Amino acid sequence: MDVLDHIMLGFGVAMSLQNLAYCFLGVLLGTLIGVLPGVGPLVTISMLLPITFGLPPVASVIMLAGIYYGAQYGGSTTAILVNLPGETSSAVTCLDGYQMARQGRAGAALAIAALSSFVAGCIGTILIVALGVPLASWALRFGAEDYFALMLLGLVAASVLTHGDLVKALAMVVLGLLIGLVGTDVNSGVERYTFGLPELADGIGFTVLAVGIFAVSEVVTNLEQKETREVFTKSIGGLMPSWSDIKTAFLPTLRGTAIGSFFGILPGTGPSISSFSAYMVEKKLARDPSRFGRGAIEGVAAPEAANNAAAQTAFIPMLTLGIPGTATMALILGALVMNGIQPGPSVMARSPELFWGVVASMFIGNAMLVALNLPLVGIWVKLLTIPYRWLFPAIILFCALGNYSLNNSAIDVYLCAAVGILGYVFSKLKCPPAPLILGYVLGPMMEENIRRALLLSEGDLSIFWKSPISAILLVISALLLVSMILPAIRAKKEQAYAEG
Amino acid sequence: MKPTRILAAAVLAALLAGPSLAQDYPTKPIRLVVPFPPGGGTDVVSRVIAQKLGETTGWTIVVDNKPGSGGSVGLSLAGKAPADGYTLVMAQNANLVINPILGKANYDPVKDFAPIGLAASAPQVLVVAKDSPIKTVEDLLAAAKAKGGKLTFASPGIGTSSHLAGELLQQIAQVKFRHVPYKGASQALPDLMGGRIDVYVSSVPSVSVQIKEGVLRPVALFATKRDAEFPDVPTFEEKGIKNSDAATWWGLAAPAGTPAEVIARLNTELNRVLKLPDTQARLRSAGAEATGSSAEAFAALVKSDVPKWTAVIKAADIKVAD
Repeated sequence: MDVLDHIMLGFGVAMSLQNLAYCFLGVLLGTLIGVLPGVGPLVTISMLLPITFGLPPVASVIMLAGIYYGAQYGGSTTAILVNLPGETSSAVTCLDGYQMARQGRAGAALAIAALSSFVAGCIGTILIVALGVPLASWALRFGAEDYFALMLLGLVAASVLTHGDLVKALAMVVLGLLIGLVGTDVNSGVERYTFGLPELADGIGFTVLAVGIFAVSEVVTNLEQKETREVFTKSIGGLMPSWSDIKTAFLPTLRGTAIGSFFGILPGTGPSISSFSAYMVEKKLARDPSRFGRGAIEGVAAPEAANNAAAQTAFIPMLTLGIPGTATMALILGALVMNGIQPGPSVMARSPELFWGVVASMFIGNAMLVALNLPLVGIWVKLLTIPYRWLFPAIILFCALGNYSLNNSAIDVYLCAAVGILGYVFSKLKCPPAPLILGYVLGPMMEENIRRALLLSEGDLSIFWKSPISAILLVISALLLVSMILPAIRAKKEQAYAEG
Repeated sequence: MKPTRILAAAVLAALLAGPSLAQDYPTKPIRLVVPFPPGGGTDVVSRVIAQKLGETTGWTIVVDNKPGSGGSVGLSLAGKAPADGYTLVMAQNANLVINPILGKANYDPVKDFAPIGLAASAPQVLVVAKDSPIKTVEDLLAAAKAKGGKLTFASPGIGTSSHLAGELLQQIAQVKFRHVPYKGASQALPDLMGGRIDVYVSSVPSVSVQIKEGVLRPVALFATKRDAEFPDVPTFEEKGIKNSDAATWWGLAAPAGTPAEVIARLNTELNRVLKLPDTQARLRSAGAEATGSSAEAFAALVKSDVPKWTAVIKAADIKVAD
């Protein structure tokens, strides 16, 4: 009853003409910047922050929040169309989304991405309303050892990402780990693999790596082929997904939402881990995992749901505890404070109009995003009919612009080009790029947390099984490992018997 | 050309350029290098000042974010820029003074820069979780002694000014903490609130929300005087821990060799905008206090900070470069 009253209050606030307008402005901006690689919500929000001084607090937070979750919608667009991840969280969408586009199913992929994002966004918002406070205090129980165990599980599961040679996939994971080590080590402060270049002291950026390995290398590969890519222009089938597409995508969307919601609450895990996890779970559960990486619709629905759910639930620790999980959240927190609003356990009691107004605006914003993105599908798909010789300079231009805008540094652009060439070599060698990205994302966090856990426990390893969360995650990792190794051993044995 | 002619030409050029430089400056947009990404404390301080300078003088000031390596990238770039007054940098003690000591920068804080004036400062604070038994500085020191060097002290990273403030405290108060470095506040705060670490040192702005909300409790400030926002929080100085000032300061600097007239002009304008109530209010909302100073005072601060932090870093045995 109480909750219902609050939600009514929230919608009352969010439905005012002014707030609707700012919500729309936010999600529109979010979609646009989501499309551009490198230019993410972080830069946009920091640029818009000074403007929000003149706005009423509720309107400004509604707009900034709209930019944040709106970017998750836009990020998938270029990932699907031209293999260019517009946001860090949409790198995973490249894997199957782009393959769908190559098969002439770009419309279906874009629509499913928008719809699963919508479902996930709404469920994530419901979670903020219903379970915000208990979930936030639950997230506080995650210590360094638990983060380590979680990352280890992710890395063990990475082998799922491969189709084909397991050794190559493992090699790519290790290479990703090594690339992730470039930069200043958190625990010792020592710079590693920077060759004395101050520009490398903060490591190689995710955008540099993902854009290089997906978008730039795809351009190089395409230029190698003499004939233009007719597959794209020939058979762009129905724009909307078929009924069977929606049925196939339904459960993956829900599972992706659950996974994304989980990671969104944990401060500091970052947006790409949730979409990777959702993708790996779907591939593991699939009856025919070989479809993944070749245009499986679940491979678009699950990660897109996950990154949107995570974007939504990331508001939970920020609103209820004042803990910003990401740099962008820190900015929104700053915006709240500058507008005289104090986030924390009592925010719902102290400023109910703000809290419930913003939450209600998230439902409205998500609905606006679907209304905005579904009609855009037709326009986006038309882009693919542009001859490739005109399209690819534009893709490269966007890659360069996006990478330059990260740090206003030309080095990032050169690095991205180098990674693009490397990606081309990998595709020639049939080395899958996804395990590399996953190793890059998980490796540094794993190292940071295992060393912190041991620093806090004074080198006592028992910390990893004394914590129930860590113990359970480690057992799951072990089981997963055994389940992968056993069939391989059995197959070897049978082979040995057959030969003997 | 004969040497005398060169000399004559140089004198003539100096006569022509000298007065015109001071009078006409600036004749083109001024670039203000901000060595951090948009949105952070340094960015806010820089943009507020750049905007106010622009509004009141009619100058065009372009803020150029050049982040990387804890500010070293931007400072190094600005230090090498032409010393004509058209490239300025918003330096901070962490990047101007501390990074070179840590071997993380290739510039000399005294020789490579011409100080213009101090802009703002923000104190640092030691905080604990709300249910921590540590309530006062005395409690803190007693707990550190009782735990025999096992009291865990978290910072936003190795070599950050917060880390060094914690080291300074240990050295002056003759206690030993166990340092646990984090990458910013996003994971350090949950660990502090979850009781996995004992104390956290941070700049005030990044924990003021949590302090006001009551989830974190401030113990004492690393500052020479109390903070207007938290008048009840004592300083370590008051509690008998002398010379424990570790405030973060921001100062406007130019490449070394920038004409003295230009520096003087910039100093006048900087101090003028820092006195405007609107500037002060906007800096305060970002957690910083407008300070302002003469170029000489800024230079003196840099000169005294270098040996101070060199000693702290040496005593704490912090080595980040091989």
